Amino acid sequence: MPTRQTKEFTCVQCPMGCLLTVTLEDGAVVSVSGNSCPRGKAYGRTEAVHPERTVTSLVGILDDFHPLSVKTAAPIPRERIDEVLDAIAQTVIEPPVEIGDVVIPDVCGTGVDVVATEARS
Amino acid sequence: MDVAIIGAGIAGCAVARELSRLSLDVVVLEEGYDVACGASRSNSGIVHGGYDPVPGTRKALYNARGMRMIPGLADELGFRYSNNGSLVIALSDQDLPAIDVLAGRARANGIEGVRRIGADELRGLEPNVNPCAVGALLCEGSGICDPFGMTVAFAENAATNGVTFRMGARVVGASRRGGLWDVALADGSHVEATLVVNAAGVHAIDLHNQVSSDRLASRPRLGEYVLMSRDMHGAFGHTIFRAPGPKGKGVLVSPTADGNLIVGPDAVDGIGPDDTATTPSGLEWVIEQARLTWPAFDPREIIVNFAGTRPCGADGDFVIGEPADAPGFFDIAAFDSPGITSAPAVAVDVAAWAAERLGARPDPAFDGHRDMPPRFLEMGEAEREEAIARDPAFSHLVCRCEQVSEAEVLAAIHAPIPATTVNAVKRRCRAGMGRCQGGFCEPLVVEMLSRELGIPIQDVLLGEPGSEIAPLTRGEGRS
Amino acid sequence: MSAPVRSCDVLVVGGGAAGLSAAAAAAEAGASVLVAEREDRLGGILNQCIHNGFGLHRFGLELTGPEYAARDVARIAGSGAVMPLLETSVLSLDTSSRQGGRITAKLVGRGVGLFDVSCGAVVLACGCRERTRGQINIAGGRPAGVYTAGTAQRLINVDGALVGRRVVILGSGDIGLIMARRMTWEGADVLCVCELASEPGGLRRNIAQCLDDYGIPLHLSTTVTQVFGKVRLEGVELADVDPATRRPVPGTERRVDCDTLLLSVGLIPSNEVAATAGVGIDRRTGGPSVDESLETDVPGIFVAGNELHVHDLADYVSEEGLEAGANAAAHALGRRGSRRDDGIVVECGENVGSVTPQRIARGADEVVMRLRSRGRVQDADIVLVADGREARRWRRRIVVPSEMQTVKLSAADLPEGIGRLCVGVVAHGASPEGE
Repeated sequence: MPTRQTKEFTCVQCPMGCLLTVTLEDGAVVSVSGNSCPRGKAYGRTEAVHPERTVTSLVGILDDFHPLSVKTAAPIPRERIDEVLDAIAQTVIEPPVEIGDVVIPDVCGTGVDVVATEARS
Repeated sequence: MDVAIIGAGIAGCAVARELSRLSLDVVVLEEGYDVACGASRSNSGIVHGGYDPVPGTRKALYNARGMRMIPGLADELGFRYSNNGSLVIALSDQDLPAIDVLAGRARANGIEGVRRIGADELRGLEPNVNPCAVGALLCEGSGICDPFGMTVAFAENAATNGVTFRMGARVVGASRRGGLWDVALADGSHVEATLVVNAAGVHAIDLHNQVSSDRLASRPRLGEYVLMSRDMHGAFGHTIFRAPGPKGKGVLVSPTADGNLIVGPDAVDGIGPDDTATTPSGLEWVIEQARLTWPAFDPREIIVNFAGTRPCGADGDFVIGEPADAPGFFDIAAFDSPGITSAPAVAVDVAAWAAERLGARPDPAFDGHRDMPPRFLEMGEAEREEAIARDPAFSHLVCRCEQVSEAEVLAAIHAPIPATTVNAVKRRCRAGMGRCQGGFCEPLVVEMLSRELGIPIQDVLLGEPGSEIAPLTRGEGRS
Repeated sequence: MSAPVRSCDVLVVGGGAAGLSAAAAAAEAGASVLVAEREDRLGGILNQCIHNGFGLHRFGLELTGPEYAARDVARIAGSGAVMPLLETSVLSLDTSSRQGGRITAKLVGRGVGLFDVSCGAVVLACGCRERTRGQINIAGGRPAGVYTAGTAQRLINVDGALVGRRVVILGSGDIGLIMARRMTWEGADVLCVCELASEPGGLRRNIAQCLDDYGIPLHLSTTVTQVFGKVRLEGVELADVDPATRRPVPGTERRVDCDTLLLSVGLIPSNEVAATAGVGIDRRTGGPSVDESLETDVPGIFVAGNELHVHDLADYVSEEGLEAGANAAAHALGRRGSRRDDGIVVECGENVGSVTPQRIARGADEVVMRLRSRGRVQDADIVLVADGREARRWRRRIVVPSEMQTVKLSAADLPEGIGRLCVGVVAHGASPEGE
């Protein structure tokens, strides 16, 4: 017998905010309902199986009380957010830094770099 | 010390400034981190016309004397004052007898320039007043002042002339020992002084009761206000009171000396001395009453609400002078309205008593003049150019709503009575007093305080001890 | 000694999203441009918006605020015709002593002092300010711990200082939602977000990604009636709100202990500079009234971005900045034909809270109309009525107050000789009321 599971969440693709119901069998999406458009269906499929988020935060700059803004260069699995934020919070870097410079390579083994989103000389 | 003054409100600071004319060692002990932390800050800022107090009371005497001193002091000490006059309006014929009572008191109190006016003259003077008003009592002598600025002016001039101010010094008791007064502070230290001036505001009666068997009752009374934006300043020229009627006294609506418009207060009894919170019902009542005076009142123009605790006594009059069983201990207690107006005159008397007791001689180095701190907003173009040439920090505006320059903020932080908190800066130079209420400039002021005081941003206070604006460091929350 | 008078074609007031785009467009149209910016760097509020979600519309990318600003800063740097004036405030605009149609602005700049700028046109791009505690008249003491969301955002993201650990947020505007996630990520406990209205104020995606992801409850029709604490915030009183009157329902008050209250209760266009020139203000938007070229009722003064009306997305602010900048340049360079000022009046009809432009010049070829609805309509039509006759309608899947609607019309949509246009939002197929 395959395991059936349903997940519900609000679609964020447009202001409609459709309540999506995604049905999974053995972890694989078998149906999406509640959507009003194809974009909603696609969003439901991804969100149900491996929700991912881009994380934006701040790192310290040596001898400067103004922190530097950073982000993950790509979305990371949602359940890894806390770990990644901890790693970012503990980081202090030396200027100069340019937008896009890698601040933490492969953060927490996610395969994603944390990069600077502002420059500081 | 020769004299220890307890409390850096309007009374304590006015006495300090009077005593600074003499060759005396004077200390002011203040529990807050700034002057005017209590009732001296949160009030209507009215220089009362003297027609309200019952003839023969101390209030009647000092109000009349004080109101005549304030215009000259405003010039000498550099604080904001305007002789805008007041109107006590009658909303119906039933209110008229009350107005006549006030007119009678004015005569008895020796107040000139007080007369009844009719509805037409009233509307000519104040077109925004409720069209139902049938007449008013006009008092030409009354005015408005910046009560905070006035307290700072007294304090700074006193400090410049040698008075010591100790902030964060909370007095917990006073006792007489070997011909001296021993004033105990919360931190365990003591101050010895020949004379004590009890100007402790809402705590003054409690302090009096510690040293005298002639016990007084304290009935602190809360007053709630709303302050309106600068755009509303011109809605009224005069201070508008309502005639006291069977339904109470209503609220006053008045331009402020600082360019806003103030509405309030109500009167809430049975509160604690340190209770200065507004309540939803109180604010609702104030707004309701405001509409009776001013039908076009628009609550969207409110920029802030606040409350102050009036240090009321039991019999309605000031308590001024030396209790029979506490020689050398001078009370300025139950000092509620018209306390701001009366303070200069009370200070002259208290200082004279102290001088006589101590045999003090005038200090030849006394300089009674203080310049009002310049405001970029109020300068003409030539003045601005001259100010910027003198100090380039005038060319950088920190607060956009009130056009406050960096120079003004720096001057406040490094003044004779230093502004060490965001509120202290705001009250001196109005950074954060505008429409956005510090939304943009507060972080800039926080950065400046951090830099100038040499403390981390996390330690910068809003006002009182324990009121850090942003107490945590980035990342600290995650640990 | 004041600095010598400077001269340019277009003076842009404000170096945020709208101002940067206006400057770029004006420069690209051949104008010389000065940008006056109060802060010590360009970018405006974008600098403190370190979250992503900017640029989807313009660049097809999810950029953070600083990255988005950096692109526009690079664009004006590349043009060579734009000079930014940092830590510089515009004190007033003087159009009374116009010489040859030019406008004189009075400025003050750090280290420079007072100086005048003579320009052919002005673009106002001062952004907006946040509605404060005082304006919504929350009772209580005045403890530390009550902040507008944007001020708290600036303190954490620019100054590295966190305001508290136990947080209640009033208002589900986007800044409030973004700050709910930001504070959560900084380790704070966001207890709830309360919203006076029965609809969320912010974008749906922000509710999902900033609240739902972290299990932060959103209480609709709920407000904060007072704050507790004398020195530091100790708690707030929440109450249910009657959706009809928007007043708290007596008896529903309850206390929530917290050390921080963030307010995200609305944004108001900043019109201080506009006021000095006597620019007419629309009470509905809170910003200047404009025609389809984004010109105010003072000739030569244009406006864009959140100073005109509060937007949901920076991308649209930039788009509006480009329009205003290009039109200001055309005005300054004498490339605009003569315009008749007895234009068409645009009014808000059924279910429309505000609309820009407020008037349209006769003969305008393309008009971008932006409007905000009062309520939510699913399967809606935006209907344009010209002098009582329906002129055009646009169908929308959904229209909500939190998302500004944009429609484009051309001269062909506007019958000859009409005096008044009225825009409404109705259920699909329905006719607007009162027309």
